[in-house]
Amino acid sequence: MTDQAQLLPGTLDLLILRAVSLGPLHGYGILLRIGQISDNALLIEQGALYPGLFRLVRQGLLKANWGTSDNNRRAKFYELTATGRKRLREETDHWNRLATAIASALSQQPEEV
Amino acid sequence: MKLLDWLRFRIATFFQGSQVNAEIEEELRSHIQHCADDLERSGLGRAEAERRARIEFGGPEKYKEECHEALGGNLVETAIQDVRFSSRGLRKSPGFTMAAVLTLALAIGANAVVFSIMNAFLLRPLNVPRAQSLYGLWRSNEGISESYPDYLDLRDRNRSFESLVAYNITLAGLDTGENTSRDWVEETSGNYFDALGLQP
Repeated sequence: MTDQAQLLPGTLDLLILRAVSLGPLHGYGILLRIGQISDNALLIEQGALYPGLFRLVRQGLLKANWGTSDNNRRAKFYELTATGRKRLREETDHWNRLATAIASALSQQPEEV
Repeated sequence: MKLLDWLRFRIATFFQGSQVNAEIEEELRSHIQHCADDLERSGLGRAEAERRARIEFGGPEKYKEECHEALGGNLVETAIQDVRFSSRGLRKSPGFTMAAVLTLALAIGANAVVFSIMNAFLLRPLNVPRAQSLYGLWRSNEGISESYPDYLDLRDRNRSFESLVAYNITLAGLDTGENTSRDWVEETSGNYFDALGLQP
């Protein structure tokens, strides 16, 4: 638990989009999916997921429908809209560029500078 | 299109405020139940599993509030809450309230007085016909007043203006029958009303 990394601001939205891109999920399912695809390396407050979900729905990146879960419980399922899919691609590119740049900056040896 | 969606959304949240709230609550409850299901499967009793699930979830009230904000909040609702909150605070400290009200009253009063003076003397034109062709004449090298003979000379040789009026502001006693009061008086030359174009 203690070696889990805190999320950078703004990255939760990206993770949510990525998690739902693999198929419709309810909130708890999204958390599990994020844990699964990130090898549980990220620390996410469970409740903090929901303001993020509502924001993404409002921005038209996700759409939500009530349905029944595998546990036979009522749950709200989220899936990507076309805009959401496009945004995920853009944000992924942006993140990769940023991460490469930062990693390269941090790995430079003194003699190379 | 985007604007229309947004408007429809806002109108929906405004009229279905309580329904939206209920839906948020149901969704959060559903999350906790699913989490508890998992914990139960790992060997915990149902009650203990639900307790753990609630702890792991964090404060639901805080997140409910944040969900509401994420939906664009409810402006009217928040405004009403703010008003209620501040009036409660003001009732609790009457001294502070009095000081604030007095300060505001004095400030507003002072502003109103200054403005009405400005308005009467500077902003609004004089209430006479053709106020724009009315001029004041002063000769600065001889103090603030002109002598009456000088006025007569100026008046008789005047070719620049239609007419020339002399006036002098002074104090006089005004007898109103019972007691005498001191008043400001304006002494003027006889052509005063004709020159201004007014009927006394």
